[in-house]
Amino acid sequence: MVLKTKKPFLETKDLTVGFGGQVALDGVSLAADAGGIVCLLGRSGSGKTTFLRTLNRLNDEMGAYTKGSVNLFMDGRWCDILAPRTDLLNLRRKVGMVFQTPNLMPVSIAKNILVPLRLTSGLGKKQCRARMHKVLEQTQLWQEVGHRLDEPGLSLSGGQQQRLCLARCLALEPQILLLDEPTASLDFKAGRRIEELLIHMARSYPMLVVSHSPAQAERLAQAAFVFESGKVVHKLDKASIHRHLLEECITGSAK
Amino acid sequence: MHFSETFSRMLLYTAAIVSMACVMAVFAFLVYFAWPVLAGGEWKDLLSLNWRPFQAHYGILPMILGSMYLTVLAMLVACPLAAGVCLFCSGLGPGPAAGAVKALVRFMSGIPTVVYGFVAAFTLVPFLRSHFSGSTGYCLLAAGLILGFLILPTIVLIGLSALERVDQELSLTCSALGLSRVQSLIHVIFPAAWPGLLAAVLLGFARAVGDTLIALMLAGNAPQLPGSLFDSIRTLTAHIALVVATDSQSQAYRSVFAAGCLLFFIAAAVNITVFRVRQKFGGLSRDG
Repeated sequence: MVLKTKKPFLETKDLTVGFGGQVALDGVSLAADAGGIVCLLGRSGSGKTTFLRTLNRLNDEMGAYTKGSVNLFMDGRWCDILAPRTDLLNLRRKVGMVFQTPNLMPVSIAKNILVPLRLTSGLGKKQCRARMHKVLEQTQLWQEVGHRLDEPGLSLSGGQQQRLCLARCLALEPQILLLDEPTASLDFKAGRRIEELLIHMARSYPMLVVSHSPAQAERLAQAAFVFESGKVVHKLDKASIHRHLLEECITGSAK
Repeated sequence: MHFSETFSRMLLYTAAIVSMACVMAVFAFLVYFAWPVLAGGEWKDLLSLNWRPFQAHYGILPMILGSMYLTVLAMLVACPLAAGVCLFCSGLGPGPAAGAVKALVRFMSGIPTVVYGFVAAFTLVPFLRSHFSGSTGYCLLAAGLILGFLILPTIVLIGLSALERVDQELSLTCSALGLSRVQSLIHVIFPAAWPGLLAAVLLGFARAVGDTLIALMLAGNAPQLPGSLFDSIRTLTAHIALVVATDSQSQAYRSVFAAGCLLFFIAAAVNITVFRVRQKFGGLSRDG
């Protein structure tokens, strides 16, 4: 599947998220289009990750309160994911997430994909293995680990582990992908490989990537939002995304 | 190097050397006293079923088997209960109830063993005596049930800390994958925490093997092979306590040191197994 460009997939209005007395997001209103990677930038504590975790309601697990509205385009229609009746398990299966640090389960490479897949999809053994093959190909891991699927996932290199996390996420056939600094814990080479993969996958999935690096955003993003103190202070499109401008936006010196 | 660092280092080395020396001294002490029995060619008699000290038969096999039966029974009682309590406290139970259960388990771990034995002697033992004909109530079942409850806090508290460590790392991942709390716990968190859980079970086992008072108060102390759960048994630990309390010179007295050696080996084996499991699988599991 190849996405039509410029089709909106995310819209938030006056989104406010807090933890106890601490406000992490303060009235964020934004809209993002599919067909390319959308980068969220900003300094530590600016609200990027909280924003990302609002989209799969993961903040709920940490006792956050959320106000405003968040709509995601899934299954051919807009879904208000903050509605009280939202099926959180279903939402999280449709909105896949990859974390900053590879967080594999201490089981084999195969089981890291098969266990969540079997539990959430209800597919048979054969279909699960076929899906596993497909996502390992997609993440360019099949060549590297296809012959040793029974080895522990934690024995892989950092970059391979992160790609396995991505594969595990893709196996659930999400409709939107969220990536929270996916290359932050990797070396330059492994990080670039993940970036290439993301650029390739952005043709098939609407994708939001949190990043600290203006250079990375310049390489990846079709659009970028710069966060500061829980607010979106800059919105940039592909034509205006340049490393130096982003740096100025993040440091607060941009007009 | 700063003085405080050198001092701390020396203090730690001294503590380690003293601990090691104590363990070695205990072992040497046991071997020294058991030696006349072992060297006198009587070790074969030690492994016989006959404990008749007045006829010079010092067989401790009934006590070895008694300890084994009692430990297995206690583990059968404690392990499923501990698994249930751990699951309940790790998120299957509602928050306040889970907190209350955890507090109760912590409280249980602080109750002196004699209180368990005392309460059981006045409640469980008469119950068994009146409901099962032929049983005095002081039997394998009474001791096994109470010992199971006694080791429950050990297994639960160590198991819970292993689960909490894994939970902190993996629960958010599981939630992000769309797994329910039950699915996460049963299919991800529990399997990921297995080295820690195994250590909890092994330490519970060691506690059960080494416990003296429950066996002494509730098991009946007959040096025999039990035919059923309602028969009296004597464990190695209770045997040592009984002999040492009434004797100090005879060969029977010396034979209990052989029993002590055996208990020492069991404890060492359990600890080495826990260490090896953590060493071998620590790196491949989340519960390093």
